[in-house]
Amino acid sequence: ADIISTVEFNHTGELLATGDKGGRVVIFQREQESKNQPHRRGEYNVYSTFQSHEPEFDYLKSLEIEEKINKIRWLPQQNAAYFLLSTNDKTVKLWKVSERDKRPEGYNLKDEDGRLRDPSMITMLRVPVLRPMDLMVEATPRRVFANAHTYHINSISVNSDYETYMSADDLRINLWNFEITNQSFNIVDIKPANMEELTEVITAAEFHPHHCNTFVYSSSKGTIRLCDMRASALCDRHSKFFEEPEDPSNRSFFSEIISSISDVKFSHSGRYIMTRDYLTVKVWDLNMENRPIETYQVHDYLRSKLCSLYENDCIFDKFECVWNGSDSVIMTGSYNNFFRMFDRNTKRDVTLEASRENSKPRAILKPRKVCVGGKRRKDEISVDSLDFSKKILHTAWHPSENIIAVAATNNLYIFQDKVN
Amino acid sequence: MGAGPAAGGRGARSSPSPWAGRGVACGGEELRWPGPGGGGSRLLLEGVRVPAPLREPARPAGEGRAACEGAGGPLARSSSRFMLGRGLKRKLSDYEENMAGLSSAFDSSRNLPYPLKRQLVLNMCLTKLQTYKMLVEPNLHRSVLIANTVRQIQEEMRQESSQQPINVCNGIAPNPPSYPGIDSSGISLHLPSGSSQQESNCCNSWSAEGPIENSLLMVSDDDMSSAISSILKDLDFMEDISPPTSLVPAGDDEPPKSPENTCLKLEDDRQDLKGAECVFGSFEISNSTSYLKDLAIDDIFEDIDTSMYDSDFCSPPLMAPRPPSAATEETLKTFPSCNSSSTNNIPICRTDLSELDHIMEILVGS
Repeated sequence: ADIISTVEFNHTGELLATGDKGGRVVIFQREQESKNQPHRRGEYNVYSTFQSHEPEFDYLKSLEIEEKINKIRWLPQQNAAYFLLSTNDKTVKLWKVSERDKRPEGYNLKDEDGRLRDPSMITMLRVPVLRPMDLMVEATPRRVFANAHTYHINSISVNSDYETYMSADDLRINLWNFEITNQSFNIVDIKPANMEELTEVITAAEFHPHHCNTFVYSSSKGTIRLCDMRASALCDRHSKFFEEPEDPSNRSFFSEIISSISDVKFSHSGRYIMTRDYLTVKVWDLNMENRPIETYQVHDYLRSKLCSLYENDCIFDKFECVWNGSDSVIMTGSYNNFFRMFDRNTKRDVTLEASRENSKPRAILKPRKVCVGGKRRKDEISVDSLDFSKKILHTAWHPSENIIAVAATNNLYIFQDKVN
Repeated sequence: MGAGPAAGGRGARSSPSPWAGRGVACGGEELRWPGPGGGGSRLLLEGVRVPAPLREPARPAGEGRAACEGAGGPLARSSSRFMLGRGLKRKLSDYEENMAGLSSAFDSSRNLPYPLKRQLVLNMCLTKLQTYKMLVEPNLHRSVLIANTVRQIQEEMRQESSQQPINVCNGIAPNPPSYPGIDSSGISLHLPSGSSQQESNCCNSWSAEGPIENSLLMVSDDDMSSAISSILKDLDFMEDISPPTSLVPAGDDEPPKSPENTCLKLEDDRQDLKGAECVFGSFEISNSTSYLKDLAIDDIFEDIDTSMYDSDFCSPPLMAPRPPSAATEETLKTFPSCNSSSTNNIPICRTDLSELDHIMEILVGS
């Protein structure tokens, strides 16, 4: 129940939210940098913890609904409180996280314990005053968006208009207004009339960061569709269709399964999208549909192990991918608690490991290497010794600084760029 | 919907937060990576402790949803969490472990004949689909991917078989399908060895055999499609709010469950043509596809041993503990007829192994 299932920085990077399999959300806040210790930059400490979703039972279909948090998305901050959306398989909730550091004292009708006073005993009136108290962080559910999804929700995305957001399940995408919880618009529906003809499902969806009418969704066949909501109410016809022709030399029985896209992310600039399938990360230019502009091999050494990975279901693992603040570096996870970073400009890449065995606090992470065959050097790991139960599916990158959060099963690692 | 509990504020930093107890490494860990201003990466060759292989994961009592998602997936499914190298001995005490061994063999051996590889993959796919069918809520994404893979293999087999009658008399193997990189000499070695024996024995009666073979293939293809369809239909029923009657129309061709079992056995039979001949000996050759549609499948295949591909091979019989939905009820109706022949079965594992060995022998032609 403690397995981390999603990680997300807010828009300033001050807060970091994590959701876990037990339905809880834990929010970390960055310490204010102090002038006394300039070399010790802001660390993240627990700010708030709350139970977002509970396990439910659908009596109509005799199904359990998992409380696992699939995604968390922050809303941009508009006042002193923080707002985030969290979702499990079926229900999206809007949470308000606010601080309270003052409390009123001096009520007329109640005494300090809260007990009611006898009105006949009150002889004078006073105005309650606000006195400081210990800081308390409260999380309250403000909206619950339920009963709109038959299938499992895999993505939520806040629109750039800050008034609407979308939620996507395997076959449908719904558009919500934050203020209205009993209605949503269905904007994409790929369910065939005859379920026997189903060959493709939606795997991820995201709004464009600047154009509130544009969104993309990825499919299990390795394609991405860009839709414009101005075109029609139901966006079943895409405006753009991104698909790379298959490489015949890499064809295998598992080609389709490994082409299924597990995550799609717009760049901060809005010009590119990044997709993650089982073995690669691809960067696409929105203006070119027929192939990606960049392809990065995450762990190509697994290509010869696909049958074993299929047998133990690892081939279905859904890895996420993230951009850094300037869209120059992309990051994604792998097995054995490895995660990979690719610099798009220098074309260099690095493999790092998130584990306490190999890194002490404040130590510089050593790059790791997987050796494919032949002689294994001293610090390399062979493919056969990789631990496939230690997978890094969820990572996040601070919106402006070089701080990353990496979720390794039930541990959260936060790394910062070393500044001399 | 009351206010959520307030916990873990700044003032409460001294009390242990729930994360710290579970080993959160917060802050303080720094890294250096290649970047325009950075120091560049150095491959440090100092000794790094390679994580020791962990102990064998405990096998959970029941499958449940955990098998589908999350980190519990590979642990719950099988012991092949690590890539098993060659020469690693394991106790073949479980069908799953056997499949793990086969999949490692698939990955590591280049000399495995293509049809055998394909059959392995097909078996794995069908096994997974059957397992998913037993779950109350199968994962739609995975089911669709696996069903597509099965269809793909089926299509390829169909194309191959449609080429075979032409080529076989010459003893030339059919053209390798569109999977370059496969050792074509392997194919030419093994395919005719299995089928040419039959052909050479009865080349006079080839005209009689051809339709049998074709009818076998057609039957299994249709049954396979209906198996996939039935899985997807069941998924639809499970998930969507549509009334059940519209999803399982009365005019459906075959009852969902039994053709699946029988088609799995048919798949097996296709490799073992001798056995298949006996099975279909009583058929009228004219048009077996429509013949099947007219009959109840259960009656025909009652005496076939479908023990290997019964879906309850690794867990208690299909009586789900949960209140059955209409789809499950239908399942329960059709299954008893198929299982009647296999009620005498002792631990599936051992018969499975001997059958697998048998199949492998035939395919390899040893």
